[in-house]
Amino acid sequence: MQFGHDEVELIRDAKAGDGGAFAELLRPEYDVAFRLALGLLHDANEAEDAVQEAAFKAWRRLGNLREGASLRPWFLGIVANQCRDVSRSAWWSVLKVDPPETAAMTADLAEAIDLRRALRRLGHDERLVLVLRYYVDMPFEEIATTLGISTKAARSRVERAVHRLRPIVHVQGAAV
Amino acid sequence: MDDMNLFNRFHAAFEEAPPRGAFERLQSDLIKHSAAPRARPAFQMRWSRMSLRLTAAVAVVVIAIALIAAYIAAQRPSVGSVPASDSVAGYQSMVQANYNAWLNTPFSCHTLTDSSCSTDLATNQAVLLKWRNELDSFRAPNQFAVIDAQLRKHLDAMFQKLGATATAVNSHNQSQFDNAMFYGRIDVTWLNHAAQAIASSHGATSSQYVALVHAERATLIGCSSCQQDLTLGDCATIGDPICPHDVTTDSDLVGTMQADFVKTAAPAEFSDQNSTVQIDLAQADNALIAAGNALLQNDSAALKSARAAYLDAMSAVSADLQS
Repeated sequence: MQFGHDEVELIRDAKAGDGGAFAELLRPEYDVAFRLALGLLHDANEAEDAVQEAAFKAWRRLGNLREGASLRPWFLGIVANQCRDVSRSAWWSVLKVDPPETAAMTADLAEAIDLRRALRRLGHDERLVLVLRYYVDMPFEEIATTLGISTKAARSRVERAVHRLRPIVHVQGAAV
Repeated sequence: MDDMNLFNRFHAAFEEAPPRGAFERLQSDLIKHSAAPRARPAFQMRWSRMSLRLTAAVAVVVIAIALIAAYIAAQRPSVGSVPASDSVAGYQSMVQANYNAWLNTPFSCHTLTDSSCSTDLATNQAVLLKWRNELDSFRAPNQFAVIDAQLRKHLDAMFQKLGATATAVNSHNQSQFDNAMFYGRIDVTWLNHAAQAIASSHGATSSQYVALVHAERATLIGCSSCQQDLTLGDCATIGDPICPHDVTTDSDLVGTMQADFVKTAAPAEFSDQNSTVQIDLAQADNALIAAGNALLQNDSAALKSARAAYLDAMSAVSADLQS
């Protein structure tokens, strides 16, 4: 993707230290970055914080963005790394525990909790490709750019992650 | 499990919009930090070989002195030592050190069958116990008196929940494991808020303190969507599936407010009002601890009583913030 004239100017201004210009660059990417962080961290406030941290890191590293390269996969890569750092914190796993199931819980809620629990049992990289593919709705080509790998490798990682997810996802005892 | 099924399940599990004003907050912060990326990293200066060697030698000496001092300090019995009752900085650094030690303690016990559970639970209990013992050897400075009492309660509660988790692991009791881990988040969240607030507490000017009160009042009274949470509206009965969420959400909110009033230490002319609001928030916190325990033990009467105590305490907090 080539940047338009305005984007080139915004990048130049952002590199010169203009925070408003960098915010404008991020505006179209914010929602997808938030969804990625939410899918990885399972908490809206944590996700907002992670995107915020990632934005500042991205701003500092804006000089590393190759001319003509697309901002989105580059920024999402930084968001994913930020989420990995957050989830390394020892107590994060305790904070992210879902409520115990009760008889009154709806099937939808139970299914959502089941998927979240299953995802927590996967490694960060497996979670990342699943969230990029099935929640951020990225095509394999874009997943590949975000992860810095080939499209074939991206497809293969997603397939492996689905294979790992399958046996641990169940709905009220019945395997899917 | 086909692709469409997975798309649907992911969207159903995570469909949530960014919190209101999230992008605007980021934008505002970025603008505030304009010109930040140009800042030169602190260690970009050029060093000669000689100055590097000198610096390394000085660092070795400093580290050696620090290690000897730490060893001597560790050999001293804590019981009978002079409590640093008047030292705000001493209390802050003690809390900070224990909090850091806890944060850095490994915890990979995610499921009942994880092999590290027994070790992780015991190690974390030991770290919390050391923190608790060190609190006993200090007499908290006045400004931290209320939060200190709550800190002890949450440390005790967390210690017990880790113990309950360990029992669940030993008896392979999945439901007990899930419950103890879930309600442990009440204490984990609270400890995160409180420890950071104590460590970074600083004296505020009158206008800063008044601004804090206004902000807290706006949070409590101005947020119409919070009202259902603030009244534990979904906790009328023990089986309500949203109740656990309400208790943990409110605990987070109350913990944040307690932390705010500790972090922004009131100037002398507001010390009475500050004490009152901290005590009322502590009552709300106690009620939420009781509500969590009631849910953990499936005790309807205790939940009802905790909810009533919580509503009373939050009414008092609202009145404090109006005055």
